[in-house]
Amino acid sequence: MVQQSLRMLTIIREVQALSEGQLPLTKFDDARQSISELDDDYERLKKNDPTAAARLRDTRLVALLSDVGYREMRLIDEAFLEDYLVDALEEQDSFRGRVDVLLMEAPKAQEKTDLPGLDVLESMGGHATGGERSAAPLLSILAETAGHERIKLAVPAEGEIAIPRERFVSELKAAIDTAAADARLDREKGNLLDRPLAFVRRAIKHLATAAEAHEHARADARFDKAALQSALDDLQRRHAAFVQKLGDE
Amino acid sequence: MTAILSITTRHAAAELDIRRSQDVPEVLWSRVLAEWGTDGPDPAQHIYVPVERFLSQLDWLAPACRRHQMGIEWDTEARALVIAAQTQRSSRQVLAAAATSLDADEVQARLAGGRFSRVLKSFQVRDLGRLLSMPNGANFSVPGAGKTSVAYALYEAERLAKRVGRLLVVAPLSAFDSWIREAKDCFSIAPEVARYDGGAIPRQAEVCLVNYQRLAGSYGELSAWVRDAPSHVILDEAHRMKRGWTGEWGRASLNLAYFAVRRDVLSGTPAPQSFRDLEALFDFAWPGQARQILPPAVFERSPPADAAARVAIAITPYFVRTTKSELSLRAPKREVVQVPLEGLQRDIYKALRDQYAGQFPLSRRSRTDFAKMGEVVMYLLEAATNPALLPAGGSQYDDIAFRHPPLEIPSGSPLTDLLPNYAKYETPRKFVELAKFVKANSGAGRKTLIWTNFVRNIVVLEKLLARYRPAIIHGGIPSEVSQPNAPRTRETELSRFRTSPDCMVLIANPAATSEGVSLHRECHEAIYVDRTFNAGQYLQSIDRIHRLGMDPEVETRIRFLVTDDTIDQVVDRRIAEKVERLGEVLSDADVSTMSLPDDEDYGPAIDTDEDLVALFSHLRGES
Repeated sequence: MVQQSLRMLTIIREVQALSEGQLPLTKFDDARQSISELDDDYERLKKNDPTAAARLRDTRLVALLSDVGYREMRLIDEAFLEDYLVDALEEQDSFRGRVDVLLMEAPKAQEKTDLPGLDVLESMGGHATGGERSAAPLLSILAETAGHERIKLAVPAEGEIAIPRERFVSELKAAIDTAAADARLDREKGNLLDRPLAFVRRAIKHLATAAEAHEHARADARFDKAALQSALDDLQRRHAAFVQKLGDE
Repeated sequence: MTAILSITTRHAAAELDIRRSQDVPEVLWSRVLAEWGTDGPDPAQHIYVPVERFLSQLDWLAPACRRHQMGIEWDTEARALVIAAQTQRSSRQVLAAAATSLDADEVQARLAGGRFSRVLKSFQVRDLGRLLSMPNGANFSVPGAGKTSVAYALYEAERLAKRVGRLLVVAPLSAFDSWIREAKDCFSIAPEVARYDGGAIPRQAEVCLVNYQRLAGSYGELSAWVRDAPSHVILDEAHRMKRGWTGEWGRASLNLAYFAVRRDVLSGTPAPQSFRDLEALFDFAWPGQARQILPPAVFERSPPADAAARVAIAITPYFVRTTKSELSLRAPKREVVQVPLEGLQRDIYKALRDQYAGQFPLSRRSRTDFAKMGEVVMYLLEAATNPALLPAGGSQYDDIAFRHPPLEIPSGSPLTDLLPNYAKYETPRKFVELAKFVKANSGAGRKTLIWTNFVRNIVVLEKLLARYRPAIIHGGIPSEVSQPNAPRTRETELSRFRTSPDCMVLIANPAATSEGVSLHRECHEAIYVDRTFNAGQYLQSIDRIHRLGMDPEVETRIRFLVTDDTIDQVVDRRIAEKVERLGEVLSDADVSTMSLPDDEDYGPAIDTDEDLVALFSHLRGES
């Protein structure tokens, strides 16, 4: 019990340290249950697969800092990022085409690389290796910008861009919620009778979101109308085939 | 100035003293305490950490050090421990890239000048050649293939190479005799073998035998013995620690792994229930690396269709296996005996099935259902076998996984009238068929081993088959070890079955009948009255009467009583699927005949998502 409390406090302290003290302890007031569950799952996984454990920890902490509910948080496992979140992030205006910027570690110039005694731990890196996506950079962004108005991102094709932090967090939460809904559907695979309807309802919802997003994007000269038209044609073909199949049964 | 964590060994390298310099940030020290604990007189400044805990939880350290710009100061021994762990990792990677094997001459050369004198069979030499080319290994050969002999030869070769100087064998009690006997048979000058019962290990002991329970209970003494000299540690019937870090036996075994110079696992059924069973076994042989060995498909909630093939490819470099067919035994004849569902039993079964079909959302599938659905399985199995058991519930002597309350009958259910009448008017059809087979076997002078999971069935069958003077074994029959003066013990029952010409039947439940039982010389007929989804039980029970050492001319016959249109058919299909999958994983088409029962490792009656899906499908009337 004491050890678990210590671990939970350490999780909070680490996030606080990342934010350089900008995140107050009160930020975690309502997160006791989520942190306790995060600790349970992290402990369960860390001896078997420390890399996966770190992945789970970072992704849950991102969710926690985005004010995601504990029910959604429970759906976040070590594979959540790759299986669901990447696609869901791409659906958000602020993140479209920029997901790798959020999830790929950029080398930090100020870090010493010749720290004494680390040579012996060379193959015991634990965390994501180069080229792998991880929630750790996103967690750093969220923590380091606590209290800021805007979040600045260095996007290779665009240069430095600034996104209002409130919008950033709100879209991140929306992405995690969407990804969690997908994960929930997948986990209820046994619910074979409900799944077709559930997926069609999801498609309707997505279509409505797409129409909304189109309203925002249409005025922008960079918007690729032909690509959208082609996707809609594909959707129409699939819809027609599905309706036909249903009619034939 | 860089913050420094100083790591030094203490207590003959059993523990590490981890100390912070003044500059180590509080947040990092918190993480140190969170990961490794707070043992020691002054945890604000330094802590003591058991070596195994340190090595098994090390991956977080380097990234954290980099993040907080902290260095580490190691003493020579601590550095050596970490380097040894790293070397193990890289040797595993080398093995994965290019598996090799010693040929028979090379094997002979490795044993030359030593004490190992037994002449090994060709398949054993082959397995030994492979194992000697691995730093750590796994022998998944079928029981009776001589895994113990091969293990002793392996130890001797490693001892001659001065890699190890003593051997710790963790095994079930039932296997101790075999390890003691084989030591005498395999060596010209037998090593001193000690059975560990607690206390100090005799100084002269070269081989120490301990069971899983005792290992967990006396970990300090045993790990010190392993640490004190270069040691070879073998887990026999290693599937018993398949729960890994989440089980007591698994935790002790996995911790011990860090102190062994060489590690081997022996099991004929390394993955009886699911691919994930392999994780703990490989984590012992290759500490902390099972997830690098096994493909990600193993850990998916719904493994893809080709998961078995992927696992087979992934684990091939790490294990040897002699198949049953290589032992040149005559294959057993298997026969599924279809028993009609009729009369009152049919009405009861149908009423029960209808009751459940209405009670559960048929499509629900979540882990929390397993316990509840386990009970449903019990009731359906009882109804398919002997409906008279339904109002009685489980016996106190049933295996813990099989204990269940009497069936609750909702008011207005047709079962209210049907059940009280059943025992009055009908004998279960399976029992009728069973009696016919026993009579025929007995007439032909062949003894019959009868398997049923329910103790109450054993009691009923003992009366029904009284003329054959049945021997019985279940949780209520004590062993001589626990109750030497009991009028009826497992040993006396087994002895009676083996030697008395009047005793033509042994009725047993798999959960209680494991301690060193081999019946392949006396009995060649087995009949399964009922089976559960637990494929491990089934696989392990079969080898009781079909093992190396039996007369190759004798025919072994195994019958399965399966009641039509009941859960029996679902179970039959699921077991076949599991056995096939295990065969695929081990590249062994003959896998369905393996290993001894295992009383300490019986899982729930229903334990995989696929079982649950099959059960729901049955309740929906689709199968």
